[in-house]
Amino acid sequence: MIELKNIKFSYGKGKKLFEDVNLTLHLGTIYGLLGRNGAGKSTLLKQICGMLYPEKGECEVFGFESRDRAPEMLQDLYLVPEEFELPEISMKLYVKINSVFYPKFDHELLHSLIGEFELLEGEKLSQLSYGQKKKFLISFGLATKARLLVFDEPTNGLDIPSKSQFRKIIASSLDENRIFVISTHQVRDLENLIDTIVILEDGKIIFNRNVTEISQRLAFKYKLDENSSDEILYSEEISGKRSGIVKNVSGEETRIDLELLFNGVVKNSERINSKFIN
Amino acid sequence: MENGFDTKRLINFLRREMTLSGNSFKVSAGSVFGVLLVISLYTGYYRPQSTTTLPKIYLFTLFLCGLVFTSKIFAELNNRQKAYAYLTLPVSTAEKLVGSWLLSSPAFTILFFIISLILYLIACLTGSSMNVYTQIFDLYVWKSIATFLVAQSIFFLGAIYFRKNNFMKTLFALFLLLFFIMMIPGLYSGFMFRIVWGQKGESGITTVFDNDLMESLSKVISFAFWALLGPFMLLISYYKLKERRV
Repeated sequence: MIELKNIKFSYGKGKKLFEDVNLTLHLGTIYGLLGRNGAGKSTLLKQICGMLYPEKGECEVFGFESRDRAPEMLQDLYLVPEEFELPEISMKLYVKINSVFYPKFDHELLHSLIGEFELLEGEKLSQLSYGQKKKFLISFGLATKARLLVFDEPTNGLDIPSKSQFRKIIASSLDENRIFVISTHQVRDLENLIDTIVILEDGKIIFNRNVTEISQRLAFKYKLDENSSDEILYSEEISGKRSGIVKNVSGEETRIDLELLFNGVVKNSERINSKFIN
Repeated sequence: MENGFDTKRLINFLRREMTLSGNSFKVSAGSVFGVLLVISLYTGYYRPQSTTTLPKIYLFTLFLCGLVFTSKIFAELNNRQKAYAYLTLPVSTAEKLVGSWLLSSPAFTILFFIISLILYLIACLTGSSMNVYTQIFDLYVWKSIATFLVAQSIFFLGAIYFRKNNFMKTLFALFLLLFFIMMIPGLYSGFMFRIVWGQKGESGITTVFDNDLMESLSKVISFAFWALLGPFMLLISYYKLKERRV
């Protein structure tokens, strides 16, 4: 389990980002961390990985204080960052020198993931495109068998087939002992993948609900003409049609439109959150 | 060291570091070796009477290359797009510190000394001056190597502390520090005693006191330099590395 308690963090004087952030991440869950640019998503992920320290509060990863960067914790954590540079060595050599640090590293899994992503194992990392490098890092991260996998904007740079491959691989790799945290502002890429949606806005977690709860409480509609204005929690015009979020009164579960949900929560989180009380 | 030390992990870390910096190290080492070989052959063949100056050239190269190499030992950590891999690598701070120090200090020095022995042997053989070969084991050579090991620890801290242009920044910081240290005895004898005791420098008491003080001070400074500075720099490096954020 990962627990962030009363996190306070700022980038220098006057650049306050987090004020009393609390978040608990449970095993067996894929978390979608959503937020606008500059909302603090990458900073929050860095706090979890021990790359940044909170000024106040605690960040515990599987019982370890993340700022200690204990090897025992890091063996169970893998970060696929948004921006990265890989060394000018072959894929094989990279795996050889880095896999030894992960006791549960699965070479067969890596081989099959690399094949699935259509990468060639003998290739030099410097010769790969950005998207291919990302696919390699995703494969390596999954092969470490780390219990916590953190992906920062994983679909950036991936082509359309690779995005669906990514979703398929992530969904099939999760088990009850693992936690995946996927941070993105491209919400469509995560549809049908994430279990819990966490929305960060201005350094605050303004929404944290699992998808079952969301589809039970909210309904996403693309024709709001039949609904009264009291029922509508959020609405927007899409191609001349009024779409939006309404309270789910029928009990019938509808597909969650992440973009609508995100826009609705960012616009009026209190109104959306009020539907989850009781 | 609170987050553990494991020898197997340290060996794996050393292998990783050697692989990652291997290519650039081989190119740089090859170029330096080539230049020193040419100098050694030229001196041995054309100026055999100057062969004894070669160890000084080797030592100068050890200082220059060794300190530049040390300044680049944390290149991965100082690169914003690579630092994540370094910091999230399951290796403790102590292991990272010891591994990097082993590579940049004893391993580099031993390797360089062996290369110097070979080059000097080539120069002596070329100039038929084998009688001076033992001069590479003179006391000043060992003292210079010891000085390098101490100076290296300062540049090691600079390699962690600064994020860019580590060598030049450490050199500049060292220059400022030395300037400050050199001013202390001057200030102490020139101002403090004269101000506090109200006596002139020429008076007997002050001169005797100054001499005693200077002698004690030089002993303290010598002890601090040879025995304390290196470990102290490594200790600060440990905490700097431990507290490093990206």
